[in-house]
Amino acid sequence: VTRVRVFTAAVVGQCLIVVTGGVVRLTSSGLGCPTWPRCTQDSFVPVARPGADSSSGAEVHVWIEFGNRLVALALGAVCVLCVVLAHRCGPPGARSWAWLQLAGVVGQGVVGGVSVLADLTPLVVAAHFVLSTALIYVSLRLRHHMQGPRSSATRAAARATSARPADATLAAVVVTVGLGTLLTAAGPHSGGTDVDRLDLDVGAFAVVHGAAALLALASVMLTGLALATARAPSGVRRLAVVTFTLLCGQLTTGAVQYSTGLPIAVVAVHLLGAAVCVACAAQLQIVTRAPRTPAARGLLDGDGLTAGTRRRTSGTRA
Amino acid sequence: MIGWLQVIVVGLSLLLGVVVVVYVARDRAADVWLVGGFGVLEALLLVQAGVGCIQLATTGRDVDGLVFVGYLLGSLLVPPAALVWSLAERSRSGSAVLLVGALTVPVLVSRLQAVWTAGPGVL
Repeated sequence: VTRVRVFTAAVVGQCLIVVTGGVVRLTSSGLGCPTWPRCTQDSFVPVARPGADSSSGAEVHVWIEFGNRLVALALGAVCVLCVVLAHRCGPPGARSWAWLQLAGVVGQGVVGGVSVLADLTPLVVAAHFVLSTALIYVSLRLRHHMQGPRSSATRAAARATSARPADATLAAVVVTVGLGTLLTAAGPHSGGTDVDRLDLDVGAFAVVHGAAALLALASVMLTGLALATARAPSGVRRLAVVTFTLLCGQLTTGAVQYSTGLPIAVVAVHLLGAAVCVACAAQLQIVTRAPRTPAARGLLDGDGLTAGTRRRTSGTRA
Repeated sequence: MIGWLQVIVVGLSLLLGVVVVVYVARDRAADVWLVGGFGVLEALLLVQAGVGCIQLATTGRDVDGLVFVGYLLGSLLVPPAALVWSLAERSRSGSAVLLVGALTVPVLVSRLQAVWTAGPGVL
């Protein structure tokens, strides 16, 4: 049970690094460390440069960018631990996900490095973000594997009725995030100064991004209705409500940031929301996923949210 | 565009929001009182949609009509959608859906107002 926390920590880390990476961009600290993998020409860590103008805020940029690299390093360490745990006490299915997660985090380091070396070219920065959202999914699949097999008839019913709307929800959320990533690549927060931007009609593209979000909202409502009518476990149903609430929040912060000229605090919240929405939609899809083979039906593994809730309720009753 | 009608719509939805918070806090599912409250809200939104469309047709101002009507009609969907889900989901989570719905309406009205005045609005 404790070891599942390591995998939960990996999920949280995958979401948080989206925010620290976002802060790098929003504070224009993308080139705070002007090179990669070293921070400066001759050091891996920031060093005070004699004669550097400390009043220009350059020092702050260095530490923000270096902070993001440190977070990545910590996340990498957690992912190594995940690989070890998956090999020592995980089911066979968990191992490949653990390795995939580690490879993804290392790959993210490289893509981040390329984005620095390529002077923050928008499409590389966009790929850096999109890969992070993919890693959120990977970390959730891995965590799901590590929770071990749990099965019940109600859960099978939940899968039968809700798998498709949950798939649609995840698909719509992914499309929305992808469109939002292109949108921000055309926006003012480039991560540096004098950085190329994508040439898009921002006004029209924002409407498309919003429409995709509405589609995600409609899908999650269908998922919630299907789960409720199938008498799915309350934890899964609550997850649908949480996803719905987060999506409504995202639509609100999106409208707010659009109409107030993209203040960085609001954009950071929108980014965190995007990461958490992806995580919730992915978890919803994972726990309602239909088993691949009939033989696997007997070995359905459950979801941690439900298990956690059940532990808590039984605790209060006792 | 804004006037007493918007004030009443926002006021009622915020009031419903407060009431729903009590329901969520006390772990109660939606009952006939909440359904009635959201029904009244829906009726007011219908009136707003009618008045809004008439004003859009008669105004001399330069308003983005498509977005404006989009917000007017979109707001009509909120109370029924929230009610349907909360009646299927007879639990605290179902009431939470109503809370989200009640808080969404003021956001939509604010955006509606922003589109009408072509300004930043409250939100």
